[in-house]
Amino acid sequence: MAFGAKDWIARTDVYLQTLAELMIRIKYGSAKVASYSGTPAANTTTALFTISGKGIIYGGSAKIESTASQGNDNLGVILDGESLNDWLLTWENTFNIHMYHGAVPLLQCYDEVNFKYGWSIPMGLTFESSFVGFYIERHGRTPTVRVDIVYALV
Amino acid sequence: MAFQLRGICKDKPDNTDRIRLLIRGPKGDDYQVFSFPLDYPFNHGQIIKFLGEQLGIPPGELIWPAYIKIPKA
Repeated sequence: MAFGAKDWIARTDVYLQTLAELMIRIKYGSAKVASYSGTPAANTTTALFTISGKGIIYGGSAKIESTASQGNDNLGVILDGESLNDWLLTWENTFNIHMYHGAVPLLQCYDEVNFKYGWSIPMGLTFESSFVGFYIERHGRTPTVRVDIVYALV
Repeated sequence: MAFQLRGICKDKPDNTDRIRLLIRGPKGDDYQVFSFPLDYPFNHGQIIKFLGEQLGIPPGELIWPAYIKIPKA
């Protein structure tokens, strides 16, 4: 009596191959970097980068340098049309919102003497249609902003 | 599996605006990126036509998922 899989059904027989190991890994697609380097306009919301697609964020960093305080500004991200954070820099500093489970992005540097500020974007955020980064300037100045976000689109 | 547009990214590295298209090939793990300056004429039809010429496929064979939108200028 015949037994086993039908001939027209393709299958992988691991036991018949000399494999030293079998690796299973999650594939997210080709890694890319979305960057912004420039001076956002004063008293304006500036879109720093826009990604349309379905994917995951591996991580990222942002820095701001200015000649005076930018404490009332904020750097935010919008995932699938939903804004994740509208907290001002000074709020994040005052209330220590810099841990992994805090607001996104996470405040890493708040220097009101040299007017330098830094954020990080944690790994693991996923999006189904879009990922946008923006900067709101409220002091009437043009700070220098640099952002680099590593992501992958499935 | 056909060629698929998997994403469009608009960003500004080194203070220069650009738009990039990410294409996934038929094998599923072969990706290509096409990069353009922001002032490049860019609408849905032009992208389809350009990719068709670059990839050597009829325009109708490129899959463009509905959730992928062209970023506003």
